[in-house]
Amino acid sequence: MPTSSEQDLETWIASRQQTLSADLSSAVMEAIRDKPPTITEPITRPIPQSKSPSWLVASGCLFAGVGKLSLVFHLAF
Amino acid sequence: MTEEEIFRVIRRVVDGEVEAFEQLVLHYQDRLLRMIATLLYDERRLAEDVAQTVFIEAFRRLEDFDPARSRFSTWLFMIARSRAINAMKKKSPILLAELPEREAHVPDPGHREDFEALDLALHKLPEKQKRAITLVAFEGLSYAEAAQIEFTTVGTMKSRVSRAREFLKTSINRN
Repeated sequence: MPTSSEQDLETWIASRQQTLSADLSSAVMEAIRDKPPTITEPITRPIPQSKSPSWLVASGCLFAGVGKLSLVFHLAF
Repeated sequence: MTEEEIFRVIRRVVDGEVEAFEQLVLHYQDRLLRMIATLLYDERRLAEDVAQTVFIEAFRRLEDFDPARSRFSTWLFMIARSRAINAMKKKSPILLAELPEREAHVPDPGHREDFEALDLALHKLPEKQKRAITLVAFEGLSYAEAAQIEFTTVGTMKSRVSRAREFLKTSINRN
């Protein structure tokens, strides 16, 4: 059998459970719209440009390759 | 809204439909305000500010919400708990005698003095007991949910609620 103080407590708890009416949506949505979350976009990295012209590099590689072949041929024969 | 409906709204927001978040605000704002107001000595204006902050933070962290770990309301209340505690630390000490008058529905005018005594006693509780009784008695959360919000065990939560109730009852008897 609940005591009178327990009944009073339950009545009080029930009064505190009565909802406070809130009106927060306008302010919240305005704040969210003003500062949308940062969207992380993929970073497109540019293809690194070589410092020297490409034809020069290609030529250098070709001569180096020919030079190596010559050396091998000379050693072999 | 059912839990499933809530998850669908969350998914829409995470997928970029910002306006859908308003549905979550409308669904939880009353409960959230009530919980925060109780923790902040029934100061409604401060509670509204904190509640707004909670919703904004929840929006920004929505991708972190994991439905496997908790219900959305539990997660939201965890943020609210943290914000309310921070607000209390920043707020200058207030005199309990100057507590704002709460708009309470008093079924029997004879209960008014008892209710005022209980409101005072509530705010004299140790903070952990006050949060415990707020979550379980006023907000109707289970001991498990309340324990999760308070980062403690169910047993400890039950103990806090029990002690809070005993203290509150003594305030009625004295009155």
